[in-house]
Amino acid sequence: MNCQEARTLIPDLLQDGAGTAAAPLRAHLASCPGCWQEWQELNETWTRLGLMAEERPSPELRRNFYRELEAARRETAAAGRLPWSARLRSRLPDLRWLSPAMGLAAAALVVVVGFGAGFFLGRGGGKGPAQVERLSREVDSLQQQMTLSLLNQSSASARLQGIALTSRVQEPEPSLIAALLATLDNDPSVNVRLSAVDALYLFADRAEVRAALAASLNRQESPLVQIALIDLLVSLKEKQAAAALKRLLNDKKIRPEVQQRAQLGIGKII
Amino acid sequence: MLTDEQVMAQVRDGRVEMLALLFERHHIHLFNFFLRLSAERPLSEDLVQEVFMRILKYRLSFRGDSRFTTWMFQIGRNCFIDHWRARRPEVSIDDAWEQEPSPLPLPQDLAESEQEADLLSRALERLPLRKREVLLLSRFQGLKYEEIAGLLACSVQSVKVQVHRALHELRRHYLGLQGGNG
Repeated sequence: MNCQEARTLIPDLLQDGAGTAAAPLRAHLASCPGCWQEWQELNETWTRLGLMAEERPSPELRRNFYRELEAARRETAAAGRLPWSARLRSRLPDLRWLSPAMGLAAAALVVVVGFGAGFFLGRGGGKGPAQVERLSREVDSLQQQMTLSLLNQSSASARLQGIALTSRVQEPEPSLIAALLATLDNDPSVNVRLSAVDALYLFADRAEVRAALAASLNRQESPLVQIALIDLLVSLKEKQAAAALKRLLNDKKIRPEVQQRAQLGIGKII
Repeated sequence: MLTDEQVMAQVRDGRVEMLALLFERHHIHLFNFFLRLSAERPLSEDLVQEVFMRILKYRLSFRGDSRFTTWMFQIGRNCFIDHWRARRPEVSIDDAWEQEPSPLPLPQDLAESEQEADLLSRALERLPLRKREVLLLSRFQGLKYEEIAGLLACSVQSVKVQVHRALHELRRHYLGLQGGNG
């Protein structure tokens, strides 16, 4: 490798290690004082940049955003719902997320639903919208059954797929919410528990879900899950979480970064 | 945890409230991108707001074949360019992008404070927008050179050359400020 080639590759080395070119590049740098100095100077500047702290915007930004979002949500609702086809499509599982076996099962489900839709619509005449609504509810229900089945799998990735499906559920059945809460409390995988926190956010307009989330904070041991739950409960301004947050502050076994987050959170919800 | 792309697909399909998740994940990065590009706080906040409103407006055009963040920064660049055009219609955006900014006067106590972050931030402000932008995207926002090349509509090699030059120039400004020659 000559000096020109080496200098061309320095940006790669800075960002992601330069892949297969890393070894010859490092060998060249070690043997060429000029390129070594170039590398040192650029690397030092690159490192300094990485140490610059991020600044925080004013609270006004968040307030403005949520005001605009709420207005947009109302506007979307008032403008009427999506066409039947789009509504139905948005309710069906995205097969790319699924493993081959589950994908096949989901595909079968889609075919069954498709035949059902054709049958209903073929003889429905003017009753189309109501029948599509009914079909849509059935898809919702089948989707929830599939989620419950995936949550019981031994593979963590299958359980993650199950949780991903919940994001398309419109009207969760009590059994689905119970399964998600049980996953949050008992799943052996931290990643799955974190995903359960995200999924439950979508159902946090229900008082029983918020209460269960606050109670779960007492049972979590992973700092990552603790922080995710604190963030969620604080964003919901859930006053029932105050006791759990105080307990975290008084427990010497809790990591300092979690306690710091709890301290900040208490100030926001009380 | 749902990926950005999965969340955005839901926003596109009508669940606009899900945009809150993307806002919480990215608004601080985006704010810092604009702040370091413009050095103006109120403007940066306005631009962040504008980006998320455009994401809502153009949500149906999200195809999901590239990362959400790349798409978001594409919208961010457009917002910044639109703002620039409105503010200085007499200057072409290409010229503005390459121009050396006129250095702002240093505060009297800066040399004594020796605060690295301040010096680096001021050194960054002295780079032309084009160079500042490639450093912000590659260093702070974690975009790969390939993604930046897509955003800027240039070759990957050209992005690497710009990063290389921008770092050199940043170092020169930084050392100049550090030695009180700024």
